[in-house]
Amino acid sequence: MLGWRPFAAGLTVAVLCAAGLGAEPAPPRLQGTFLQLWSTHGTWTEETWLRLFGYLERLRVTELVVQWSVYADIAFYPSERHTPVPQPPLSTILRLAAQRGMTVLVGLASDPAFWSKVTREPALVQSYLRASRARSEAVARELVPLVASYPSFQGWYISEEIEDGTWNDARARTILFDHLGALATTLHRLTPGARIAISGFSNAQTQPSTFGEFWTRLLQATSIDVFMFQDGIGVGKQRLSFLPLYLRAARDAAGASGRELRVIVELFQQVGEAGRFTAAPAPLDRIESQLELAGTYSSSAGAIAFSTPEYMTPLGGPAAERLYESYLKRVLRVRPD
Amino acid sequence: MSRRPPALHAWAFGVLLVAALAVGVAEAQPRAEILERLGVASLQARNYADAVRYFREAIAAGRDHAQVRQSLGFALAALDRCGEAVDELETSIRQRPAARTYLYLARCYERLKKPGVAIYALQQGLMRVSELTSSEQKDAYATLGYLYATEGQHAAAVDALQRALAIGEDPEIAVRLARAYRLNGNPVLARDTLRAIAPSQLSRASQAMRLDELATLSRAEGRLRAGVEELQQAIALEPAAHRYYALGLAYRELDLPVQAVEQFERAQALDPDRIDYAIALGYAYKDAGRRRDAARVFESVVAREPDRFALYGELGYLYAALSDTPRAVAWFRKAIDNERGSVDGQPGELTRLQSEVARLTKRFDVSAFLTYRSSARQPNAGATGPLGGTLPSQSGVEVAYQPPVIGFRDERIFQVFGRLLWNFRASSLELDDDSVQAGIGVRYKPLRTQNVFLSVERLIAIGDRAQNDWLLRALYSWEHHPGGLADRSAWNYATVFADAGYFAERSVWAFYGEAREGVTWRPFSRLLVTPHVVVDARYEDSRGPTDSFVEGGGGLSLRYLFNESPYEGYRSSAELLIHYKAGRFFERARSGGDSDFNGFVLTGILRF
Repeated sequence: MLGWRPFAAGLTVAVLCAAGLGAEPAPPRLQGTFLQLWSTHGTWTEETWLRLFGYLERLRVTELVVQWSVYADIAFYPSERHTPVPQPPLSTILRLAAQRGMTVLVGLASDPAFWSKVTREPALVQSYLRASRARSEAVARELVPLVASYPSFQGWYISEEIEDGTWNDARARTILFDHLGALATTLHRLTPGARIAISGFSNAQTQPSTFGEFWTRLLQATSIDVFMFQDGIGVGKQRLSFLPLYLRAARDAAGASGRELRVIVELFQQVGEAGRFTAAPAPLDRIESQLELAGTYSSSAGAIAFSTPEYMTPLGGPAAERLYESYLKRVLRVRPD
Repeated sequence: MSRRPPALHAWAFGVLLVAALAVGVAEAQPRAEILERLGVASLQARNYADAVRYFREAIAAGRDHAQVRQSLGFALAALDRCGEAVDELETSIRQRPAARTYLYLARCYERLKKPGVAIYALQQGLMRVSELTSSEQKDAYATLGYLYATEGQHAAAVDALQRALAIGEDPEIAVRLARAYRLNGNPVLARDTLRAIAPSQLSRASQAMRLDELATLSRAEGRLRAGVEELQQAIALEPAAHRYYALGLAYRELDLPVQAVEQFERAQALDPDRIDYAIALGYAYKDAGRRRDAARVFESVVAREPDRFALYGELGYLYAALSDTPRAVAWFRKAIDNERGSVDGQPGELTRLQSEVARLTKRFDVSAFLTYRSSARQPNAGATGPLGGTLPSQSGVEVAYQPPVIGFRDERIFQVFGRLLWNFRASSLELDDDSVQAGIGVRYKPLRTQNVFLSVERLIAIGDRAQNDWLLRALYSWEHHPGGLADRSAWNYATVFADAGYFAERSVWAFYGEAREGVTWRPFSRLLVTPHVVVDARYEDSRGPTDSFVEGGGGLSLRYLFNESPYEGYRSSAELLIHYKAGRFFERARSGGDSDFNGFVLTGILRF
């Protein structure tokens, strides 16, 4: 005869199992976001930053990627080489992130002329990249004392974005690999233990296997730790139908090189005329599809958003606020404030 | 644009339409089928707009299957609505993958400028190759070949194009195959393939492309004339900026700058946005001696792309050659600024540019030398050929003035100079008053590339043994100048100096020559240390006992550079020459006296 204790225990287990089986698995979600700094951020008050970080906490964002610390000649930290904005925000970002247990990848120098400069003859590209590297290394040297004091500093983000059409030529490819290899080596030497990330995307100019081979070679030629693949859905570089082909290629490239793959989910959709970038928050349905794919192919769970402040917080306007609330309710299953 | 169905289809079309209306309300499925048939009929009639409408209505009515989606995608693609077409074609593939659908999808992605996905779609389609007609197979392989070529996968392109040609001959594909062969490193197969094509079977564009390929092969084989002819034929068939550019390059290689200019001008006129065309035109102008035009073109290039750093120096040289010194100096200064800001400057380039500015902006040149010989038996001449030379002296000071405008014109130099020369008493540094000699004159460097100076100088006797005369001189000097002077720690040192002088009133000729060979070591930027060997000789008609001699030896030069300026580099130097020389006087040997001599020669030179 069965005693009541085993029966009660069995019943408990059965109830728990039933509850477990019945519960829907948590949907894939965003784990990080880019912060794209502009001159206006140089006028933000502490209160505005606190508001932003409040939203990020609600969105359960734990990783920040500051896209650049210097854009053109504008510095977002107290720089002697470049022109700082009135209230350089980098320290604030690192401090508020540290207080919330978030990590920060700090972007280096970004040149708005990058795309027009790297499509020229290899000799000019080499010269340009050398100058660009010198600039990024100088920025990193200036930043080391600042970032070292914050536990939130996780590493560096190389602001140059790599796409598949530009580097088809073998000479150009070698120049790029040499450039990134040298930059990554310097950054590792400056901050041992820091992670180095770079992002890339595909315009579907090369077939997925060629894209994968390119990234395998790039990662193997450098000591870059994290490959962030931009899904390109917001600007129409990729379509959800063929995005998995490139995601698989990116994952295989990272895997073959022993590096980490993160997927950047574009939260916007490009609107308006071509050539002049204007964008609006994307529909949540589409973002959920992107998150599903990102979750499938990322090395670790959780995608990186591009970018939450503009397109998925109330700071981005009413449409961004609506997306913020929908995301909280549908993806994170929490009630908006 | 939609078209009306041709008469042949009109009757069937009308029947179907009536049938559709008749069953429309009652039975959805037959209606959907009729709508699909209407779509197919419209498609056959090439009325794509109606086809799209009917297929969409059929799908909305429940007739949603792979074939209808494929047809809808095809109709949309025909209307150049590829963005919508790919959705339908991908839906069709999800429902039932088919080779033909992949083929349509590939064409759409190619038009949407997504060649990478187009390749993938073709690869998928060709995995079901048996579903395709031979014509479709050939088309698929040919398209795949073109796409591989644009991706730079030339071996894959060769394979795909060979497969296309294996299905059926096609001269258009053969031209592309030849190109793929060349790019894949097989010029022999490329040429054989091109030769096997009858040009008359090709479209005009492909005929021109075939000639382009032949010209490229000819050029690579060094058959430049043949390449020019092939390009001329291609241009006659189909003029294009890239062909004029290629022809211009060929003419440049043939050293025909005027013809090159003509072609580059045409290329640039057709495609003014191409900066490489403009640069090629600038260099062709320069080669053709049209320096002002070259400068104009280069200035427009650097205005558009300021980081074309090599052109700043070019502009400096062009304006220097045009005797526009202010502009030349301005461009050289910009080039120097670029060089200083550059992380990958060329070795020695900064020094080279600074020396150009120094030469262009020079007004005064002051030199002083002082020689001490340890033995009274040695000749009086100092160890500073250019400063003494035909007029032997142990020490002296010279001031040269280079007037503005006429002082430096396209490497031709004009100077006015005055000098004072003297000797010391034997084995001492005591001035020998009787030896003091003054001179004032002008000199001119008439050749651009050779360092030859012609001078006329009035010699004025100050000491009793000095002379009043007219001295006509021709001086030549050459110095080995390594390019990487600034950054090299050691380089070969070689100089040659020759001086012929004619004392007009005495009708006496005098000649002096000197050569040095050694190694210069630069322990730090300001100091040059040069151990070397030296040989020099002097001959004079008057045949005094010490007028003609030959001597040689070894020694060391220590040269300290100072008075640095950002744009001119080191403008001054102090040099100490330590030589041990042995030699022989010609006249003493002839008269039976002791003709040999040897001893130390110490010379200090200050250039300011």
